[in-house]
Amino acid sequence: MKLETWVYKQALELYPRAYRDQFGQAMLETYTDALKAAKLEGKTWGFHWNTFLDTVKSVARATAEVKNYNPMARVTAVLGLVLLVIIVWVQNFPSDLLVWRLFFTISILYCTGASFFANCLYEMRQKWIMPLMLIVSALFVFTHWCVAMFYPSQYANFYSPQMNPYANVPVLVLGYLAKVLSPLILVLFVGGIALDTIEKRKMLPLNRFSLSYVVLVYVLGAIGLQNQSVMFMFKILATGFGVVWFALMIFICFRLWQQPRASQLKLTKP
Amino acid sequence: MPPKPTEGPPLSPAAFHILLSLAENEQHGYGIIKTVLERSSGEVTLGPGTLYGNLKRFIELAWIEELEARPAADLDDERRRYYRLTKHGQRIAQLEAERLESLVRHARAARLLPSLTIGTKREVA
Repeated sequence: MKLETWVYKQALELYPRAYRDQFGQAMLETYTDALKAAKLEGKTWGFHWNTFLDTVKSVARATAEVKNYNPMARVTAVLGLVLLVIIVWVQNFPSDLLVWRLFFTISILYCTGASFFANCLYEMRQKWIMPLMLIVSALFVFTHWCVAMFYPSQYANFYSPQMNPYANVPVLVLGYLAKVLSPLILVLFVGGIALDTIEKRKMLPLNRFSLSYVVLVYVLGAIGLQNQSVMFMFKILATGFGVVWFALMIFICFRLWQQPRASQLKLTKP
Repeated sequence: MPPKPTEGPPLSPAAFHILLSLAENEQHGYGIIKTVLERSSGEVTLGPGTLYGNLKRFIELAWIEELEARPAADLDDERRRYYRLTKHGQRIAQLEAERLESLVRHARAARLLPSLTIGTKREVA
């Protein structure tokens, strides 16, 4: 396949899913015919520039016309951003607000606000967002698992390096990784859960499992900081969940890999 | 009585050009692009995004429909999806043409265009 056609096929991925399913193939055929004509006339640069502008405009228009975004997520987007600011403030506030920090971090409102963006991403790039979600969530959960397992007493204060006596370089790298990735993973998998619920689909096993795992880590971790026997149970459960979670992730990645993708549109021979 | 258009004139130049191409005969996507380019002497260049964005809207508004039956075998290209104007779409194109004609009449009255005299009829399209 020629480079131009390959690039245009990738650009088709930006269109909303329903639009792409309906017209993707026809657009690709039309593009290749127009490209051939432009090459014959020696006007390829102008053609590519016009196609670029045309694609940007029509992707924006097609995306704006999508009607099945979650309207509630639109409303909660603003609320979610406000909550995000509060969470950042609470997490960095050096006081005894331990439980509140944890509570705010797992706040479902924070998740629903962010789910709006995941909604958009999911609609636009349905096929690759799933593997990305898996990879990022794997990193996130693994990071939290490591920290909870090896530094349980510091877990709550982990995000505040000035309060963490174990703040050596690897720990800080993990910490900052978790800090950066946390919002992203929450956006991604909570967005997935929201969509599954809205579209009345069966929730992806990974989503269900990730949510329960994160809740477990936060809630039991918070209680375990006050109680040693709970901490022991937490360690056992977190490890078990972690192992099953990774097995599930590998299985789902394998299944996704086998599914056809929108980018696999093929040019038919005339 | 044709159904009252829920969306109609004024149309964008690209939309009117597409309807005009389909008013002549049923066409596929690239055929529409070529017709519009020729008719506008290269002034209106439709990209696939603009073309199919409009076609999608027209299908939803029932101005055009996709042909299920294929054209004659010697004219057919199996890759293509052919579209044709519906009666409703024809009415919309007609309304837009009348609107443009009325504008041209006003332009003549304002002497922005030379007035038509018998025997020197000019095309105003």
